[in-house]
Amino acid sequence: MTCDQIPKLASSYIGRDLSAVIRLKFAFHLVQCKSCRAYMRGFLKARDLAVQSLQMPAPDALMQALGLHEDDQKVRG
Amino acid sequence: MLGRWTKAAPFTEPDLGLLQRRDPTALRRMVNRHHGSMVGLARSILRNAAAADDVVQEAWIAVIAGLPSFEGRAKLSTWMMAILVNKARAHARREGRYVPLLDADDPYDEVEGPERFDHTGHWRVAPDDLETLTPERILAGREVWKQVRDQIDRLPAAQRAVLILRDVEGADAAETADILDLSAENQRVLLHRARIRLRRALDDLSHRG
Repeated sequence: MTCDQIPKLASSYIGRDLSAVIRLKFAFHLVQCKSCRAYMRGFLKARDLAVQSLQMPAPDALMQALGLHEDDQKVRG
Repeated sequence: MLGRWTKAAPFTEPDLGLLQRRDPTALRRMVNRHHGSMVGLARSILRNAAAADDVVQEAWIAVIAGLPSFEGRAKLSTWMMAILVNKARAHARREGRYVPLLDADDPYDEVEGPERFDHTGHWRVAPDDLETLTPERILAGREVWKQVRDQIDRLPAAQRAVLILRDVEGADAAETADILDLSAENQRVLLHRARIRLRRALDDLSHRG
């Protein structure tokens, strides 16, 4: 396996969707290739950043509409 | 070796009991955790930001009202996203604007451009591992998390929807295909393209910084 095949298979590899033979070739290549390990670390980092970027606080207006704004709770409390 | 790369991102389910008793802190945490995904998914289906915001609010009301009867047969997040997608589809149909999610509108089929590799198939320049990108870091004048969100918004609708369900909400392939009414193969290809495109965009961002 060569480096140019790694991006084509990366998503299937982390999803365990590859055949056993291809998966082993992929894993073996990663052991040998520092650049492709960096590529894969970046692949997982991109996923983590996607999760974090979509978990920022919801707008106050929505929280108020749902009766969940912290100020509303204090008034009721 | 395999586990290092294939370990799923951590997805923690909230305390269902607290949510069903309408504990405000637990409800707020749930809304904050999933609101970005809801908006991204609604925009993928409706392709209209204002309509998406209305549908998301409607979906949150339905989710909170439905929590006491949620039996836990599916993951909570999967159940919430299914409610949102159904509401978005119904809204689009009422407006006569429903377009099924397909990848046909996306001519993109490259993975990493051939210019990145030499004639032997090896990287010309080693890829960045993106380790220095943190959500709060400022790059090109804005926080990284905002730039990542922009990149997710720029994905073709179907890719964005699959990425959100799989990587952000932790739905499995079958759940994602079912919620979005996609074939298993289509779901797999869309996820692959979305991940590659996002990884590449962040690589570009990292180099700009």
